[in-house]
Amino acid sequence: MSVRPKFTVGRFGGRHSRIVLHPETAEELEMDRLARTHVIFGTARHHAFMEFDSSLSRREVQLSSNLLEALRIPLFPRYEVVRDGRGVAIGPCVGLLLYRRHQDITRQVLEGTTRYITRREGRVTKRTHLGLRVYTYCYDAIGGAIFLFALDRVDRETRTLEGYCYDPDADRWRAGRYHYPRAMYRRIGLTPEWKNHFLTVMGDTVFNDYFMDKWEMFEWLRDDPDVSDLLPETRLYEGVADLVTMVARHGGAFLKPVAGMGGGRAIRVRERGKVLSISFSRDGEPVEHTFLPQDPALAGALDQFMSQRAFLVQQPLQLVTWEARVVDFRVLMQKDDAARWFCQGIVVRAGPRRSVVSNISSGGEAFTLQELFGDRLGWELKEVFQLSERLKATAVRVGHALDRLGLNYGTAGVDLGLDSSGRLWLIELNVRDPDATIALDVEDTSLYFSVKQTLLLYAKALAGFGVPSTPARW
Amino acid sequence: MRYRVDTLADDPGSGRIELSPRTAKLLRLSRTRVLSLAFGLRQEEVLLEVMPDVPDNRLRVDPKLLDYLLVDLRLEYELARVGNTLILGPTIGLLLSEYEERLLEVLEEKYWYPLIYEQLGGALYIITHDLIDFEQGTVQGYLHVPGMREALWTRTRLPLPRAMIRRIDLALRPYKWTQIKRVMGERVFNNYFFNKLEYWEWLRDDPVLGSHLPETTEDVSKSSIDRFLERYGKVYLKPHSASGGLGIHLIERVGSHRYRVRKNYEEKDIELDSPGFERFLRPFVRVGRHVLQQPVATQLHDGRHVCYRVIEQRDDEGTWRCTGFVGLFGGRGMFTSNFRDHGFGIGGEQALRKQFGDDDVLVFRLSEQLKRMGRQVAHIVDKLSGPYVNLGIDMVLDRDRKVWVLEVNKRQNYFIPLNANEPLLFYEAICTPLKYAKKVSMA
Repeated sequence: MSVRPKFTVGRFGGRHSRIVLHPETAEELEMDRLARTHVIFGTARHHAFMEFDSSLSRREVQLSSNLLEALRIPLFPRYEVVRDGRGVAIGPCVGLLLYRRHQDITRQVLEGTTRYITRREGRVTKRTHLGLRVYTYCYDAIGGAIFLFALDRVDRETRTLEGYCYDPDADRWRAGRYHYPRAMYRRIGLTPEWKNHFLTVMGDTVFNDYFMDKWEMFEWLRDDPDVSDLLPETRLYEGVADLVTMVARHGGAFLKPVAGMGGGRAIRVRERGKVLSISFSRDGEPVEHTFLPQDPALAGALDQFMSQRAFLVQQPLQLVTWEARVVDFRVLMQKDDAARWFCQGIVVRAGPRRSVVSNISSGGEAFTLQELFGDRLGWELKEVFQLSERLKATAVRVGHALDRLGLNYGTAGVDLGLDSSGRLWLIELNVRDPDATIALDVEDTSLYFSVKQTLLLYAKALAGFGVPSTPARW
Repeated sequence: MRYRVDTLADDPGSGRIELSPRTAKLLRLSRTRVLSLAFGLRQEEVLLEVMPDVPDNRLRVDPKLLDYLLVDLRLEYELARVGNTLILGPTIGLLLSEYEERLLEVLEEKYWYPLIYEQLGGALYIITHDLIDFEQGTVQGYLHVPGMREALWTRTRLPLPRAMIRRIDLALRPYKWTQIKRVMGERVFNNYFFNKLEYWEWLRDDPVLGSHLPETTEDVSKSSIDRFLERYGKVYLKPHSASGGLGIHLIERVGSHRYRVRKNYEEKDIELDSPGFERFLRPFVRVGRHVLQQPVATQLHDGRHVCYRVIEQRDDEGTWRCTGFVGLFGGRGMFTSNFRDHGFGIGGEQALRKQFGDDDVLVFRLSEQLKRMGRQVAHIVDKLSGPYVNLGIDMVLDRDRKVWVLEVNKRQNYFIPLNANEPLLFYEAICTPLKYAKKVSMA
């Protein structure tokens, strides 16, 4: 079943450790033969005896007081109920770990509005939307308990957290103490100690929990025959010699930091006769210097720019441009409650003129495929469609490659480039809370909302409340 | 990885195929062994050898095997291993017509299917029923050979494909469909062509969907109509299997003993007394041809009924997803939203904004509701009567913004998104089922 009915949870006033259902509901849920079971809520479990009561509403589950207290089940969400082996799971019970400090989850954050400004072709649009409530706009698709909490209120000993649970009827977040959720999306960095603790208690249901850097991305994917053709030649930068070698092979090179996002510290190197031209952005403005390859000042300038950070040196790509602006693609890939990769949307980015990067944060501009390739570059509609399909298929290949690496990712911003020969390249992978506001940059608010919501749908799947996808016959 | 097939010219009849060590490793085959090679629904036992001189992107195959399997050497293929069978493919058939003669009238228009050929590879071919040789298990298909300038589709003898997408209704000649099903089994979809009453019965037992279906019955007697009129004030009389709003009547009571009947797309109502109404009903009172359905009080826009066509399809992973949806606005004063007569179509979200206002959150919520319901319908229909790859589900929103499922189309009209000025959705709707067909074909 794709959409399950929702249940209210009520208090049973009879004996201890009872879970009570209407007999027809029990039959529908294949629980009518259960005598003794255990109730599962989040990471907590408790033994219980099954009882049936035809005076109960078809969509109500009653639990004895001791169960409600032991499991810390809030009564206001609308739950789904499923068999889980010999147990009965009430949920889903999913969490959003978005803050380090509880004090940062202010009333404004919970209930206030957030403004976003989009600048497109000289036009400024201001949008106001409801901050964290964006995760709950389609609550009924998710259902169950959605916890929002900060790391400093997680108690490792009792395996409980102090945070907020969403109340769908009141449309607000309610404070409380709860057991750990069954699955979780986290935005903040975690120490290995914390990661292993959550892994031990929750299992492998904390997704996007490993923030791969650019070198790891290259190293791990280059041996995968399904995606290795997408990777430009890449080395770890250890000195000018690496740069000179790359320039000799490809007529230029691209230097980018191993860690970090935004493209602000990328350097383009081009061979211009006997000299090398080094271009980068400083304070948003393009800067260019030239050096002879053997000039010691070259190493000095690079070292100063790199500020002791690890860098990659990479084959340069002759990416498609528009009005002298580098163009690339952000493919928003996610897994939903079917736990399968799919493409949420594609945004085209055009960098500022003479910039080496296309990031919006560095002054780039966002377009839909039709807007840039169709309307501005004059491509036919079927060509735009074909490009879209190529991008999606490529991004799905990358998603599968990540799965094969053993990484539990549910959301990824896959940055692809198209070179002048029509070949696609994997430029970057964004797995640390990929910024969904790029959807607002193309004024697609539904895409933005959908990206936020889908994080919880994948959590729902990890929590055991997903939907079937491929028929078992295939 | 894609492979070209070469012949083992020096060893015909040996039943051998040769792979490179890298290909063998990818397929988890380490040494010479006997297994089956399948191309379409034909397969043959072969002796597989790993040879270092075979390029990584080639296979060498005994020419007699190739002749039997009808492998076309102009194409590039993928390889998959399922147990002890090596599948060369994909082989995807498009059953677009009963007769070749009819197909030829429109063949060159079918440019859209190969638009995603790059993602598919293998053999993509159009099939008609009369070109299938059921005894031999072969077909004279119209094969797409990429790069061929002379024609988009070339008539070629091929085995029956491992996956077939059905786009024809053989209701008047069911034996033809039986023939196809017998050879293809669950590898042909959409498999069963249900009528209105059938899907209504499947869906009404679902605990979620049941309350989103208008009441429907095949009892079209006067007493049944009176019951509907008592309950709802109006009732639709609809043919089981028509589409596009054709043949639908809206019936209302006028006073205590008279009835007003209006046929869709006709401007004039007729008013009938009780005996006259009974005479009017007589041709319809034939079990299995018509149904009565509760009308839904939809939120009108500018005097027009609005319906949403939600396109549910299996993606390349086999997951049901909403490929997209459009809003269809009926003619002013018409009682349905079929837009043949002075109606129009636009993109789904645009339609929601027109109907309910320019509220981002509301539009998102409503569109997600439509998609969720669509997916639920697809899951149930597929589970009870599958396999399906592609359903067009018509839904409306009432004045309380509740979703109602009106119709489930098993052979949906792909041109609806085009009529709604959504050409990219049109291409996507046509091509998405091919990706699932590829998955089935390589399994």
